[in-house]
Amino acid sequence: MSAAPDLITRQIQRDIRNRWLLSLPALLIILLAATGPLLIVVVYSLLTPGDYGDVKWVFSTEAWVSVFFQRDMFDDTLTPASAHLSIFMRSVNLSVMTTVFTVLLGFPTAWFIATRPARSRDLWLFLITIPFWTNILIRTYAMLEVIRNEGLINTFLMRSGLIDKPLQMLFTDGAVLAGMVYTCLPMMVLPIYASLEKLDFRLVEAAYDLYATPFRVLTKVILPIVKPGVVAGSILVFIPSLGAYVVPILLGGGKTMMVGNLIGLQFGQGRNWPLGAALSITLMVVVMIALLAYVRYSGGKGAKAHG
Amino acid sequence: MGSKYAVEIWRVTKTYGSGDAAVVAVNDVTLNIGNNEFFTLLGPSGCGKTSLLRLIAGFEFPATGDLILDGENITGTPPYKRSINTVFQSYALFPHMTVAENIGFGLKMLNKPKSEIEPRVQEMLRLVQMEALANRPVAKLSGGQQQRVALARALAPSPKVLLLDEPLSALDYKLRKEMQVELKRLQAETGVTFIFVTHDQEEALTMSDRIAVMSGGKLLQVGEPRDIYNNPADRFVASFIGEANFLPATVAAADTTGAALTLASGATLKGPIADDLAPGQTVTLMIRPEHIRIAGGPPSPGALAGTVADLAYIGTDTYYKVRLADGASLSVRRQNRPEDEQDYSPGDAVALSLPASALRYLQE
Repeated sequence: MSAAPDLITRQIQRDIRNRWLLSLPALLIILLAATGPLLIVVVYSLLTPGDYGDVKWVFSTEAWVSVFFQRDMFDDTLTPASAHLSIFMRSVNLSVMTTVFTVLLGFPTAWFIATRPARSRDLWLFLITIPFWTNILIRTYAMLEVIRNEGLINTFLMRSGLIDKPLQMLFTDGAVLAGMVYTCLPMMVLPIYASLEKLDFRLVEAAYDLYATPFRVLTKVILPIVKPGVVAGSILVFIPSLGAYVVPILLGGGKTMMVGNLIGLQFGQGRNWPLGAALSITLMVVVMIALLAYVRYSGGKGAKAHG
Repeated sequence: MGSKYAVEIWRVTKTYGSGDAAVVAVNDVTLNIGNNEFFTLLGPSGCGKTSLLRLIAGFEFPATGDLILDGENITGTPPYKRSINTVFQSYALFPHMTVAENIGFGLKMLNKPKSEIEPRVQEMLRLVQMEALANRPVAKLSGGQQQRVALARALAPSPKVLLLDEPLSALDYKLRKEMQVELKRLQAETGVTFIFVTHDQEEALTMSDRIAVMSGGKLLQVGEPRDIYNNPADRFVASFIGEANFLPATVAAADTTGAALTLASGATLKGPIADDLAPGQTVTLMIRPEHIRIAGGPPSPGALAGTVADLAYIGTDTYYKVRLADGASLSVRRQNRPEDEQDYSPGDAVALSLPASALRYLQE
């Protein structure tokens, strides 16, 4: 009997060692594929830009300075980088709007699917995932084809005599938002559907029975219960939206620059890789702060369910 | 209350599906349920009792017919505007709320002030003896506790009618017995009309003021437990509530003192008085197993001769399966008393006497 605790302790120790060994491959992949590249980005942000792109291995904080300040061409005085700030604000703004619209559109869609008979649900889910099969570039070009001046909508409206000259839809903020919502919508529908599918619809009846109007059934019973799905969907939409690159260029015509485009520019024509790297890290920090704030605000339950 | 009845159901029909696949769940049901009544809808699963309950609650709407609540027509009223609350079979407690929040939900939705909700929630907690668990999340409750919360939640807004959809079916036997007593107490204390759905005939008999027996969407019989047990309207009711023996017979003679009946075997029986009996008419006789008297030896005049085919001892009583001369068999239930020495074994010849007062004529 006296040996038993000792045996148990050894058993637990062996168990822990085995678990570490078993998770080693995963840890290695995370280290090589995520942490490694991130470190490279951090290192690059502290180097000097090369003449034709690339970097010179000379330490410099210049990139970080120019993330936040702009240096006067003549007297080297520093003023806050209002251009960068407004680009960041515009990106955050677009991402928030995209998230809001995908929730507004995605929730009813997910509700529709979740309330279908079990057999036809699979079909609807399948339809939702079809856009994923196509490259985002092609999907965006397709959208461009629909809304451009000689595109589908304008041709139809002109032919039917409703308008005389084409509506300018392409290269507007609305077009960028519509494009973002279109590409992100499945990312919102799927997690909300996953939550709604598990919802016990008798709870909805119970709430109706207890004098809750349809709107209050939604806000007091359904939404609190499916909140983890909405939080997960919002995170899945918000993060990629902040770094959006293709949609703002194609549908916004490059007139309105987003963070993604700004970073892309530094690695392309700008030939300032350190600045690009510094901006990337800044974006990451912004995303992290936004997420922390969001998860805290939404009660933290979502974070627990998905973290 | 303004009306004589709490709920009036007038010629209500509900069908699911359409065309050839249509299923009539509730078929032309007319029923009045009185104030402060403990009313039970009893029937096998699929008989339409739960559909009828859902119509009263307002989760579904009748195809034809009217529903009147306390004198007011509520046929098309949505559930959140009916002063009717439901205790669900699965309890359907809100998982994101505490016990107290669940109980207060209905009052909150009625926009009652906090000063009114809080004392009422306390009162309800006391009523179902759950004061200690007010702030517990409902997921951490046992089945019996969830049951109590579901009851308190449904009673808190003081509905005119409380609907209970087989609320005891998920509980184990002992707890179910306790809750039966508890429900009767709650109904008496609150004075709310209870409409209780069950497939358990014993539960229905013990708890109800009146019972409605349903089958195939139709109402077969409505009455007090005693009345339904003693005078079942038809063969289905007789065999669904309690146990019953059925014997085909022909009327040999009938007058104001009783009837003379001939069984298929040629044996004769005395039957009770009935209005519309004519000689030569065939009838079905019903008798409860506990009303048949069993004795050993050759039959005395008026008794039927038979052989014990099988027996089952259940403690308080013994069931005998007795085969008659013509091959028909009757189930006999005899109470086990210490003074009865005689026990019958399979193969024993016995005599059965069927008192005329215990025989019933049934419509087929």
